[in-house]
Amino acid sequence: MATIPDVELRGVTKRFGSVEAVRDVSLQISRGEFFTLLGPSGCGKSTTLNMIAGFVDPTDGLVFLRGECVNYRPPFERNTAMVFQNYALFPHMTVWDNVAFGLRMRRVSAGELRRRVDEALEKVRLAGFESRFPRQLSGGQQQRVALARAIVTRPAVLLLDEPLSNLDLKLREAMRLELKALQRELGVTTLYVTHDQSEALVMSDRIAVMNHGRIEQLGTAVDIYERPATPFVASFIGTTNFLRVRAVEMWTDGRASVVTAGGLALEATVGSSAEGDRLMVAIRPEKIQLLSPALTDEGFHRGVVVHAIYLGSMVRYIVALDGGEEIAVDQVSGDNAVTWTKGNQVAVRLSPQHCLLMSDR
Amino acid sequence: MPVQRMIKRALPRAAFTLVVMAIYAFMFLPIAVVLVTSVGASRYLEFPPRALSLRWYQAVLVKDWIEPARVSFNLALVSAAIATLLGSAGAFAIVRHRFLGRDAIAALLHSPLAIPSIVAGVAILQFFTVVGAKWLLGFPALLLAHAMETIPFVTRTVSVSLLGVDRTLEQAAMNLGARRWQTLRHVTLPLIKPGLFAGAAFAFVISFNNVNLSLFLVRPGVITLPIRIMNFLEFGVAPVLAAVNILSLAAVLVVVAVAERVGGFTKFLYGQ
Repeated sequence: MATIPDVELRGVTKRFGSVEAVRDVSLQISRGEFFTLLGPSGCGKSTTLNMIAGFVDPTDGLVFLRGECVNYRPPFERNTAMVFQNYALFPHMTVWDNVAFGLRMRRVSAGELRRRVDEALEKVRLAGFESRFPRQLSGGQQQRVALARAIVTRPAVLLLDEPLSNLDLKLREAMRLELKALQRELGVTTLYVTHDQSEALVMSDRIAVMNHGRIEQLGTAVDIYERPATPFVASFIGTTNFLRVRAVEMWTDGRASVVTAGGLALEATVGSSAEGDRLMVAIRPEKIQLLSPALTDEGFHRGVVVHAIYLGSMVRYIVALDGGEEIAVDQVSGDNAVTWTKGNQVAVRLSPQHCLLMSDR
Repeated sequence: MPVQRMIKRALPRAAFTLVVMAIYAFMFLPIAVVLVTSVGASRYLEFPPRALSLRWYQAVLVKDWIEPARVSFNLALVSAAIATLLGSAGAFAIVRHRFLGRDAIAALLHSPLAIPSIVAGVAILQFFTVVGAKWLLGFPALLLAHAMETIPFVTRTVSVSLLGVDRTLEQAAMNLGARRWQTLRHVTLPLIKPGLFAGAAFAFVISFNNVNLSLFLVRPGVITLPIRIMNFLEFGVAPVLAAVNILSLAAVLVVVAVAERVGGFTKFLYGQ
């Protein structure tokens, strides 16, 4: 890359006593990018964020902001702006004073201060709320004050720590789009931390999926959903069927012939982590086709519908394959809503392109 | 039937009101008696007074009373300021830092509460004598002793306030560019203000009313109001004492009211 990334981590590790919260994390975030750290609680994503903000010192590794190593810089000299999970609005200050705080610390002139605070409040649609105190605002409004307070300083990177997790579902979904639109409009480099996969998929340019302090996979939403590298990524994002398999033959074109524990022969795509002898095939429920058993030919397996679960726009079928393994299959609910019922014989197509071979760690 | 039920319902409430009123009466009636006595005209304590007069208030306005009052007021003010400064520093250390001997220091900061202050008074007097610092007796010794006596009250109230401060607020301030002292000034101190002023008000009142320590540390010419009252009592009770009591009560109330106005410490005592 020719340009210097706004944020760069090189081999960053954090140990708390004997616990390794973050292990050897490296990543680069370029100007204007919306980058998400996604993972379950305790995976090290918040610790990573705090090391960039300067609240936590890395045990090992380097943190760069706009090309400058900031390992020994205190938080107030880093030019990051954080939106905290609980918003952390100053309760003894009005909305206006909260938003103005960062500019006052930077000794911005009175005229510019007023202009920029007004502008920021305008951006988050809170003009008219200047003299309110945080406790007089709803959760969604407090969230927007926190956002205005952060963006008004024009930071090198905007750090968002699960900012939507305290809002109710409807508001959360609306705020996702609003936040993304605002981020794009401002062009501010953003690092977003969340455990919510759909948030990550909707908003991010790139996602790093973290587990046990490590980045398991780094890529676009499509990469991560369509081509999960590890069983953890495949199961954390969306729903996935796993079939334990044994490799029969690895072909040079990236395909492999495998046999499941139940004895089914499959063709699968070899993923980057397919090593060792404990292997599995992962396949998403909506990538599997169910057809009438009359249509069977070579590419199909036979099965019996065990359950049909009606989910409104979709129906999830649990199908017992010939080998005895049960898999979930999602179909858009058709003209009759539910196409198959319990006990129906079906033909199942597990296409090689969607059967991903990975090692079971 | 409904009448019986009404009585059944109203009775506990009435009993409760009665008990509360009795408690208040027990607390405030003596003060009322003193107040009424202080405006009596007689040379002897008289209740109720047969004639009213402000002569005892006039009698207070002499150097013998004004000077001890001035000493007590200055002493309470300065020792409260010192106790607030040191007590808060102690609270920050105990609440915010983990260091070797932290528990010991926490215990030490609370220990004057455990030692009878009359024992402490003797000990301090002996200490000054042994180290040859008897010349400190009078205002300097009183100041040191009163500050020491009241530091635990400040440490307590400030510790409690400090524990209630969300650390992410300080992180937010630093993230927005505030240096450590700016974070303290603009975020932490405003948030612990009620506890700070509650501690300061306690310190002032305790110092102003203190007898036990002052008894050993005053010197001729520099005595506090409570000691002056004690000395006066050796010659018997007189209506002038009632006037002194009412005036010193008024002084304390004014200081507490100012502290409440500026610091809002009832917020600390009774919650938001």
